[in-house]
Amino acid sequence: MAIVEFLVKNILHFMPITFGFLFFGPLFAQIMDRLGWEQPLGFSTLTLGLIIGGAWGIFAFFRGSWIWARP
Amino acid sequence: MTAKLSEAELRKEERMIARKYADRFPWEVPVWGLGNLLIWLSLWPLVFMDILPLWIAFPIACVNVMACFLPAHEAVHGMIARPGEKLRWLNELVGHLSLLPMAMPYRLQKVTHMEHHKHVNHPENDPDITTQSKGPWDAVWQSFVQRQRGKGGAMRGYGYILEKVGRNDVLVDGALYQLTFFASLFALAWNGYAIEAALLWWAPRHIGIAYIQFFFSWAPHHPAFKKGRYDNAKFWTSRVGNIASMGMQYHLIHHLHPFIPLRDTPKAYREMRPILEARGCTFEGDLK
Repeated sequence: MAIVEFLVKNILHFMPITFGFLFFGPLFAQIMDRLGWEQPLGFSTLTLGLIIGGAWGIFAFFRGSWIWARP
Repeated sequence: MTAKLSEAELRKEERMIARKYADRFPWEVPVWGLGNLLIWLSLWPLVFMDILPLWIAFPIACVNVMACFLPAHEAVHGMIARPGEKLRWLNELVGHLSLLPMAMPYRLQKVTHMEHHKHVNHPENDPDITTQSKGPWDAVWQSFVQRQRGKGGAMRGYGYILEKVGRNDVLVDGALYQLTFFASLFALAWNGYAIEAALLWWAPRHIGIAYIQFFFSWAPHHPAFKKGRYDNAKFWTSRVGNIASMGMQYHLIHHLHPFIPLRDTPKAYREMRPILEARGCTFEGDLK
């Protein structure tokens, strides 16, 4: 089916990277904000959140797993 | 007494008992399914308006996801109303709406669950065979491992089965639900509500799915090798009791007679027990 192929290949296929940046990034930033961290490692909390979340997402994309183990 | 009954007589006795329970209107199913959804939905404004602390809302959201599956499962089997009946719309409404906290399409659940019933414990055709594992801790771990995409993003489990039975249309539902779920999380996160989104939906969904797979799929079928009508699931005693284990101590009754509402399976079991013993079913523990 054309629509599912498009969604899976072009959007869901890259979802680990997207999820890492668009969800884990701000999530980690807001957790650091709640903990009262200011300028952790010299970065803004959002920058550091995006670095950690994005790196984890890129790892998950290439590894095929967020937790190392995979089916 | 049942040991002396013939095959035909055993079958007749079993059907007569099953029929007694099959036609009750399960009023608790729509109340449970829609009520559970309303509670989960109400958590969002309550948390956003600082009426309910997030640390209280989080475990409630986890329970909501754990509880959302069974009403939809009852709807899959047409327990509220069969096709063509007056209240069929309610059956389908409960099916579609109650699964929302899990972000799972009802049609996907319906098609894959019917395949599970047709091919219980089959290594290639049972969509739930991915929950097969060595023991309880491995079952929990495998629940999270099997959710990973894997190398190359190969289709397996539900996706594999849907392709195999030619229901790519249902895969569209799955893709759209996933996209909507992720888009909602992103929108919440970039509007300053990432922690709320994580603790009201993302984490409860992962925890809830592990719980559902453990009690609904792994525990009643473990070790999931036998495929016969009377041995593809078992009767077992759960350490956490029947309610906390999703009523799955009596899961074989459901496989034998899928039209019996969940709440009636213990009663049907007690009445059928001599027949089930004569059939050589597996009983683990002293299930009353």
